[in-house]
Amino acid sequence: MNPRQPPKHALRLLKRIGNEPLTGDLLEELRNGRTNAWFWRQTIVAIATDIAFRVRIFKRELHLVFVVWAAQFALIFTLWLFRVPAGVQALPWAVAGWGAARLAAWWSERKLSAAFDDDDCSSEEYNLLSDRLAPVALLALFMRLPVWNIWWVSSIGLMEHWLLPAYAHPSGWGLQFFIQVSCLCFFSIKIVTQSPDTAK
Amino acid sequence: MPRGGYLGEFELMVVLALIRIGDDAYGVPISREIEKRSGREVALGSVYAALDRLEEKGLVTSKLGEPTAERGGRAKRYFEITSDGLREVRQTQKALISLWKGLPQLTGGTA
Repeated sequence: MNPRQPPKHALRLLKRIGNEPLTGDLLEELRNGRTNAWFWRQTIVAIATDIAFRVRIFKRELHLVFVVWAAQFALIFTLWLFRVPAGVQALPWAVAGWGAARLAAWWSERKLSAAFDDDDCSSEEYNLLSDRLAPVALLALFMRLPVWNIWWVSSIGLMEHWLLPAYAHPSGWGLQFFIQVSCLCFFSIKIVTQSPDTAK
Repeated sequence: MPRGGYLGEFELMVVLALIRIGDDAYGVPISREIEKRSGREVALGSVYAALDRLEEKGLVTSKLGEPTAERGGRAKRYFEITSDGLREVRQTQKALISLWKGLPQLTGGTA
């Protein structure tokens, strides 16, 4: 008799989690008579617990992303509230973006040189480099985004168009908020989907 | 009062199942043992999540076995309780027994 075949898509999802012993256990149980519905239920719970586990592992990075997002959003809202001209509004972002990018570059250079200069270079250093560099680089990019927006707005001279970000036109707040929340989600997902094995 | 948390309900169930099974403790027998004793269906993902937490705390250790064909070439992950784990279980047991004692609502067998 042929062994029962697991649901293809559930197996694909389990592969993404990367927990081979768990997948093996589920296959063993399926071959011992469990149903495909049971297999699917177990897969969904496994994915949910894996997400919770990753969020716990990357808690510090997620907090950092959220704090940076909230801080820059609060600052730009205050500037808009007090009708600070767009040119002045661009200044803190230019400084913050430049600073964050420099910090990320300095940090990665230091880590890279430490990793490559050391003859006894352990994989731990490479892991640290790949795990911690990504969120910092993403944060730097995140800080740069409002600057790009302002450059773009200023360069084309459409300061009153509703599609433009908030510092150009009040209706732009919706778009600005959408961009910001999308960025926040994107960076959170990027951080969370790193391999938790190398993050410890 | 010793520092460090007591084991949660599910963690305690997982550890007790692990102790009962002994050398052959991996995901499938652990979840079956809990199902048999508690009468509830247990998700293997939750069992692994609890075991990962316990391993992080140093209460259990794990090692990989040989891959087998019936598991699609995947290895089993065997778990074992550590001496710290046993101590933690005893502490939790002591605390629960102490809380349990002398409750008139819970004596006599009926609610």
